[in-house]
This record gives sequence, structure tokens and C-alpha cells, in this order.
Amino acid sequence: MRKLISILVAALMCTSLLAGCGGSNNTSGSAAPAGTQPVNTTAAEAPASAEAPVEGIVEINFPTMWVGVNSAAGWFSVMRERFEAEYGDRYKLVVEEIPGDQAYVDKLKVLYSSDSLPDVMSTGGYNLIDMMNDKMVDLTPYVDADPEWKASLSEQGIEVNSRNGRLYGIPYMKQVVGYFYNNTLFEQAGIEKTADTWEEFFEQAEQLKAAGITPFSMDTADSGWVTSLMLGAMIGQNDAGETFMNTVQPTDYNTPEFITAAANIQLMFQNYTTSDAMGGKYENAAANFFAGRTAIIANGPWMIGDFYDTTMSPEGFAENISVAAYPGNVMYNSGKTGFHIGAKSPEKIEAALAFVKFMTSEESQRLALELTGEIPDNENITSDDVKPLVNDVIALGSNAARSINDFQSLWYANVVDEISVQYPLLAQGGMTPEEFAAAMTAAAEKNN
Amino acid sequence: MKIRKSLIALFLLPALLLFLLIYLGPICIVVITSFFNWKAGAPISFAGISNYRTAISDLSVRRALGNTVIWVLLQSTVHVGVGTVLAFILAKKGRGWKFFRTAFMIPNVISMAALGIILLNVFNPEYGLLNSILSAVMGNKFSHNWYFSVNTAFPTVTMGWLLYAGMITILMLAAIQSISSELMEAARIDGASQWQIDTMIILPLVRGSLGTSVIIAATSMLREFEMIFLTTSGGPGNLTLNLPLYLYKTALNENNYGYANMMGVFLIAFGVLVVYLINKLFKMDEMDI
Repeated sequence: MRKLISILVAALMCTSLLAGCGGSNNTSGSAAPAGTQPVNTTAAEAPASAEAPVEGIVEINFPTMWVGVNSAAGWFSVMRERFEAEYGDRYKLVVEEIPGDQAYVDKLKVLYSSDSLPDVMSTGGYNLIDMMNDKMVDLTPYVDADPEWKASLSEQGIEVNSRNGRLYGIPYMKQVVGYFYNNTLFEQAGIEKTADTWEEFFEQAEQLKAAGITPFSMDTADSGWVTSLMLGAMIGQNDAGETFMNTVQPTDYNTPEFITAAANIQLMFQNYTTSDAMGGKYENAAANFFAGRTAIIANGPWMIGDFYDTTMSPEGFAENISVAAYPGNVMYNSGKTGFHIGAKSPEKIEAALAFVKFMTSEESQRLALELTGEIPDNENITSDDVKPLVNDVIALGSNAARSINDFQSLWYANVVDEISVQYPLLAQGGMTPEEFAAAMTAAAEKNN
Repeated sequence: MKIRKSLIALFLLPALLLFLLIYLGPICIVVITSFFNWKAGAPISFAGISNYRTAISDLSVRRALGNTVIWVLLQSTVHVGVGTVLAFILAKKGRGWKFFRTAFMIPNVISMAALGIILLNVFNPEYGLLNSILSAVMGNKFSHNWYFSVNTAFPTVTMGWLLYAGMITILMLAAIQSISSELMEAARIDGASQWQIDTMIILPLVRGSLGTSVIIAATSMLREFEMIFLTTSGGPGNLTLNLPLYLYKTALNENNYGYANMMGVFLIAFGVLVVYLINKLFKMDEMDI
């Protein structure tokens, strides 16, 4: 009898081990209501779903980084509610919250490696198409079958989301980025208008410095976003540079344009920025700009909301800020990767398409424009309820002499990481611009 | 007797299955796939030892391995030394010893993520605590980028864990306090000084705990990731890169899983070697009592 009990207990313990390895994943909380179910998770955790789907209702999972303090969180929250209201009887959206851009991208890479891409995903501009298109649904036939839908997508957006003639993403926003400057500080330095050439740009930096004002907000951590925007704008000032800044995953950075731009970035680090730029994150750069410690920051229209947010900037700060195109009338003005579908079954693909269409609709793009300042992919979408600076950014994009795309969307992920760790060496003269270019090239070549 | 042995085996079975599924199985996969070209989006192909050959000439691997070895050595010696000395001091139960025992544990209790952010602010060149103190002492504004200057990046990162030996202190203190006080009394009666008691009686008796502490400290450096990731991310350049961080970057930035697993094999082998050597050094198999 004792032996039998012992065997049963051991068998129960073994069975309990295997219970957690089932096909469907369980949430840690109680059963969730129908509709969306937000689940907080990290990149290491598996996607979660609620209780078994109701018959007839197709469940689609959508991990997202548009949560918490992300600038798109408000927009996504509204659109999610509207989707539930309209499609709740047919589709169930299971939302997995993954705070942080990099955590989200890392999670998708892990899911891709285990052939379990989510039904719908959107990276907010990070290019994962080249890596994952073999497991993404080719949306070409679906878009071709709906001429009205196809007509609403910009050519620029389609191009960025396509590879070899196949469409892997539905665009909903475009990238239009210049640089913001503080009018008050410019006046103090005696600067009357923004620079038309890079020579003027650096002369103005000297003027600002002479007036006791630090010219630029810069950073190096987490891809060195604001610094790299300046770098890219400098690269894109001639035909070859513009071509380079529109090339997907370039492998050779040993170009005169790149090296010259790197030399200028080195100059900026050494002479025209704050002491915490080296190693600093975007938040440090932004905080310096909001506090009036720096006069210029390169960033996109999503930052405009922060100029009005009194928890981030002083009252009335927005009235002091203007936006400009980079010297040579260069603007980041490109399509962005949009929503991708990784669903496998026809039912889930249909549900995913409905969700993607909803999220990329005119209504959604207009709301994103109003709430986040993100420029819609569809140029016909406008709104009276936007901050004035947003319209200025749009106008600058439309009138740009040269249009380029940003490094995060184009370059290999390890090159983006490499640039971040090499900027401090470049900044303190530990490497030459040529060595900097060589380091990027070496990093890019690892992908072959 | 036979029945008991089979029962023992039966009850060990769940733990054994868990070990096979979660540890041994994945370790075998890591070792095997380190001999393959395995990149995301590309077919997997056998590569022989080419990943290992590439690692020999990879400057980042060399730097990461070198940094890891240095940190293992520093942690095994300085970190354990600091913790042990503190344990000896606390064992005397001087005034406020309980307070200091708790206070010294605080860095070990808070998460590495929080500690990383705290230290980033302490060493911030614009408003950091350290620069502020130095400015006050020197009488004029002092600004130095501790984490990202070529000369100070490595030592600054090292200070993120080197002195926070609360765990070692607790382990050694428990070991010291488990020694019978009669031994110390007998030694005092024989005329031994406190130094002689500490070094010639207590220290040899806590050899096992000391060895364990060294193993814990050394192997913690083979897993160290968060602090470096959150502060310098291995920079400037690769000055503060270690193997776990380089493994992560190789897997998730370069999507080169075969090469990343090769580094995993390095780490496993290095860890086994470290534990073996420490066992031998401290004669952990031979216990005095």
C-alpha cells in the first residue's frame, strides 16, 4: 500500500511538471472579459492569451510597445476600444504589453526564431522585414483585391514595406523629421534665421557658444538617436549621400560623406554639446532641451506634445520653439514600416487584416496625427486639431530638396548598436572618423 | 533496503526530469549548435569548428573574455576579501553591528536595474553625486564622464559590484558564528592574540564557507549582464564588454545564434574550470569537522 501511494505521488509530481508545457499559454490572473486582454510581459516570456476562445470568435494576438509612457499609448488605447466596439462579435484582440522599443523588437526576434510570430505586429519604424519576411504574410493579393484600400496607401509607404515586389506591411505613418530650435536662445545669440548650409550651421554654433549657450543636445546611448539624426542629415547633403541614406542595410560606410559627417559629429561632441552627451540617453538630451540648456535638438514631431506638457517643459515653452529643415534643405521624409501579419490560418489572417485595416484607416491616422503628432502616410489626411509645429513639420517635408530615411529603419541592428558604443570613443578622440566608418563597415559585414 | 532505494529513485525522478528538460537538454543543444552556422532567416548548416576559429581572431571576443577573467579574479579576491573582513568585524558584535549588517545588504537587496540607474546618476558628468562632492571639495566645478571616459570606464563599471559584498558577509558571518566559542576561549587562555585567533583558528575552520563564497563571487561574474547593459552597454567601444553581454548582442543584434552558442560553450567550460580550481584550492572535499 505504501509503495502504491509512493508511486502515485511520484507520478503526480511528474505529471504536474508536464502540465505547464501545454500548447496554450495561461495568464497569471483570473479569467479576462471578452475583448482585449492586456498582459504585461517581458521579452523572455511567451505570448499570453485568455481563456479558450468563444466559438465563432477568432482570436488574434497583438504584442505592442504602445503602452505606458510611449507617445502612441493614448492613440492605441482609443483605437483598441473602437475596434472592440465594432468587431467584438467577430474578433477578439489579445494584447500583450511590452514596454520599450528594444524589448519589443527583441521579443519579436525570439518569436521569429521559434516560428511563432504574433498574428499582428508593428514595430513603429524598426525594419524587421528583411529578417522576417519569410514568415510574414504577403499582403499583396489582399491589397490588390481592394482597390480603394490600395489607393489610400502612399507609394512611399508601399515601397518601404515591400521587398521584391511583395508587400509585407501596411503603412500608417511616415517619417518627417527636422530639428527643433529655441527661438529665445537664438535671439540671445543674435541668430536671426536658421542655417542654409552646414558652414552657417557651425558658425551659428559658435555664436551660441559665445553667448554662453550650449548649441546641441546630443546622446550616444540606445542607438544615439538624436546624434545619429544629425549624422544622417550631414551624410545626405549631396546625391551620393542621399542615395546612401535611402539604402536598405548598407554594408560599406567608408564613404567620403560618412567620414566627413563623422568628423563633424566628433567636432560637435568635443565643442558644442553638454558634458553628459557622451553616454547620455535620449532622455538626457531631451531634458537639456526642455530646460533651456541647449538650443537645438534633432527629433521628430512626436516630441511636440512634450513642449506643451508642463511635467516635462516649462509653461509656455512651446511658444519659443520652431522647427527647421537641416542645412541644404534636407529632411527625413520617408515611408515607415507599418503593420505586419504573422498569422497562419485563413481565419486568423482575415481577422488580422480587419484589425490592420482598422488601425491604418483614415480615422486612425487622423487620430494619431492629433494625439501624437505622427505624420499620416496618407497625405490627404489633415486635421485642424493639431499643434502648429506639426503642420510646420509637414510643410518642411513637402518642400524638402532632399529626402532621406533614418538609420534605425535602414541599417543593420548590430550597426545601430555599434554606432552607439563607438560614439564615446569618437567623441573623445579615441578613434578617427575613418576608424569609426571602418567599425560600422566591419559590423555590417558580420551580417553576410 | 531494495524497496527504499527504488522509492528514493522514484522521488528523485521529477527533479531529474526537470534537470534534463531545463538544463541538460538546452546545454546539449547549445554545445551542438555551436558547431553550426545558424543565423536567423538562413538555413542551418554544419560549420565544424569555424565559429571557434573565428572567435580566436575576433577582437571583441578577446576583449570580452579578458574582461570576464579580470572581473572573475577581482570578485574572487577583493570582493570576497571585503566581505570576509566585514564578517570578522561584525562577528565581534560591536556597537550597532546589527544595523551595519543590514545596511551593508542593501545593494544586494535592490534590483540590479535600480542599482544601474542609481549609479548612472551618481556618476553623471553634469549633475552626478560624485562630481558634485569633488566640486565641493576642490572648490570649483569638476566634471568627468566616469562611465564613458576611456581611462575610467572599466574601473567605474567594476565599482558597480566590487565592494557590495553583503551576501559574502552574511555567509561568512554565519560560518564564523557557528564556531564554538570554547575554541576561542582556549586560544585566549593559551595567550593567542585576536589576530592569531582570526587567522590561525577561525579562518581555517571557515575554509569551506570561504571556498563557497569564492565560487559564488566568481560565477556571478560569468553571469554579469544587467549592470553593464544598463550603464555602458559594453562601451566605450568594447572596453567594458564581457562574454554574457557579447553573447546577447550576437544573438539579438547580429541574429547569429551559432556564434552566440559558441560563446555559451566558452562560458560553461570556463565556469566548470573555475569551480574545479576553487574546489582544489580550498580543498573543499576535505572537511576538518
